[in-house]
Amino acid sequence: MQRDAFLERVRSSIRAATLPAGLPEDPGALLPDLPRGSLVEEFSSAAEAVDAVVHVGDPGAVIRSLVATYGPGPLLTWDPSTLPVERAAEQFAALGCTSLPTVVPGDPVGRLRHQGAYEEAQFGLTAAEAGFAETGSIVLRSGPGRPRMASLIPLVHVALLPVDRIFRSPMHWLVEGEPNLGEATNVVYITGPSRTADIEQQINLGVHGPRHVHIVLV
Amino acid sequence: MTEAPATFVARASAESGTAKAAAVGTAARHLIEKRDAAVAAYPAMDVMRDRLREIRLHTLTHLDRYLAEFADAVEGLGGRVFFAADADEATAYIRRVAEQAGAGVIVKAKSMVTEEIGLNASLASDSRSVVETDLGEFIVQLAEDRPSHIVAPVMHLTRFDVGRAFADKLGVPYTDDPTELNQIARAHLRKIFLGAEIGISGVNFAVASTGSVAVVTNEGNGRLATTAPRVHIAVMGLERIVPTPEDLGVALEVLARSATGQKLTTYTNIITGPRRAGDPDGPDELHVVIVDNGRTRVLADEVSEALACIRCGACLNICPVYRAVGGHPYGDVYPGPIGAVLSPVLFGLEGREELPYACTLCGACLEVCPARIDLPRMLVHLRERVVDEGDAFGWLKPAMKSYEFAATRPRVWNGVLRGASIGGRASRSGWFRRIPWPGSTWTKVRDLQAPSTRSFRRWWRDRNAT
Repeated sequence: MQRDAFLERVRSSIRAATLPAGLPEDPGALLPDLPRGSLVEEFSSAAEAVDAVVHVGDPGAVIRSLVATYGPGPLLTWDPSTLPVERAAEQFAALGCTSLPTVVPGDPVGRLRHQGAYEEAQFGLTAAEAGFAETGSIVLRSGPGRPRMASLIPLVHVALLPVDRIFRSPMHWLVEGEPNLGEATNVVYITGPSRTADIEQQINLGVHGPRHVHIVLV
Repeated sequence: MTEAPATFVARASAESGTAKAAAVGTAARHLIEKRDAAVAAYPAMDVMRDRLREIRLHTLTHLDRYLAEFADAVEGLGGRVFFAADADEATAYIRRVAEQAGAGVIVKAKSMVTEEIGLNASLASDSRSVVETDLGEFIVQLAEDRPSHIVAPVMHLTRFDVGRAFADKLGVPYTDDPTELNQIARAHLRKIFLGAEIGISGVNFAVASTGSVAVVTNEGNGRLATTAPRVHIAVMGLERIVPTPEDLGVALEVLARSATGQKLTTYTNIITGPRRAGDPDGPDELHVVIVDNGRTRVLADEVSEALACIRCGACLNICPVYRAVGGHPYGDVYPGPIGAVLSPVLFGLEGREELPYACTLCGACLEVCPARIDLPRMLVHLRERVVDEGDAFGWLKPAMKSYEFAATRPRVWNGVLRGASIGGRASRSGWFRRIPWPGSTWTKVRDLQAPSTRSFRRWWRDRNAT
């Protein structure tokens, strides 16, 4: 159907509609009234409640312990220039994790061949642009040097989150953080590891996305 | 597979009391308990629900404007927008896109509107197969079953059912351990994701001001299906629009809490246009298909508010009828109270006359609806329409006329009661299992209590006489 005819049908239906009158012309933003505690503490307990692991302290030591725990394997990392910790990606490399190329070729065949290598990805290394204390979520924004796949396809997702980027709630970030959502192709809120409860309501982690999410506060 | 009975009551009677219906009841109660706990823990819930309602109704009254704004924004980013008047137009467009992409493998993230328009069957007619990637929908597809819930599609299956479907269809050794089944699905679907040319997703919300579509999933299939393939097709009902990112924020505050008792769904995936210069990955093509398929009819109807629905499923989970019979007896893709309101208007009243009666008018759905949609009022409205327009309850009008005749004439009334108490003596157990027409309409699906052998008036007289 042509756009104009479609929208005209919508318009004539609105004229016949019996919706309550007196609605605000411009619904503005609204911040939830939430208890005010320490943002870092709240963030940590909310993230752990959704099965993410929060680390504080030397990122190098955290990376060493993660590689020791899960074993070395292929790494999908954001470009070092986009990470708030210097040499974080190199540390994985020094521990035997080889970096996979992250720029997907434009041609369809090359694309599939390139992505085929992602199947065995062990670690993903990214930087969060914000955290939500209330929900324990992190926010990732795609862009040059910031592939979406790094937080999606590996078994273990390691996200570096600057402590001064923790907001009280998703609404606080939207209203006070001036996130400019439309400016990136992809913005994702990640709240713990991939999960499902489709079979008899039993929670299972890592169904399609990462089974382990480690958030390193920096 | 045998042909399903033609009416809600017949289907519901067949399902009621089965293990399948019991499984749905248990799962629905579990979800509503989690919802209640999440709501109790969130002090702003009522304020947010009010706000969501305002946003949704405001958007509906200016829907043409917001749809145009959204489409302009998507096209400005290099995406394509297709306005589909009905299921045929939507599926024809998607088939054309698949043809042009030469797509061998198509993956789909959970989407109710694609179920509604029969997309999988339509693509299958071009010999293209669509792989469902939500674990529940994947199981539905393997088991050649139908979803019984809009959020948790395999509520009605046990892990043994799932184990058998996996063993039969995937050729893996039988297991009924959910963790192992999950790992089998992960390994199987991962290869398919990474080799797919097209990803099809639904849309939870579309943001008019930015041209963004938000797709929320717990498993991550919503992200994989919209990141790995070269082409992303997002399919949405025309009512999925919210004006701004802040309005999206309000909707997200209540969606997961109402649906599963989570604060947020694991992945809230906000996609704004196709891959841009410098983006390392993501789809090169984005198509947004905006589907009417009866929605403008709903908008023009007295039930227009039903379009404010955000598909959380809370009204299903709390509904005593849904809990007793499960999702399948409702017949269409949208079960429960919201389905009983939407389906007759979206798809036509004929053959769905019983849906507005699949309700006790207890009001629980209104209590839990995050957009405070007055479903009970709408069901009453639809009942009026069934009687006024349809002939499904042809016996009702003469029956009410006869009742009026008797009830306004004391002699006739007393005569009827005397007759009834004599009739009551025909039953020993106090119940009739079968009586002649028109009473058979009642006894076909339930027993009828026999009238007392002594009328109330008679009892009252006797009592006062002593």
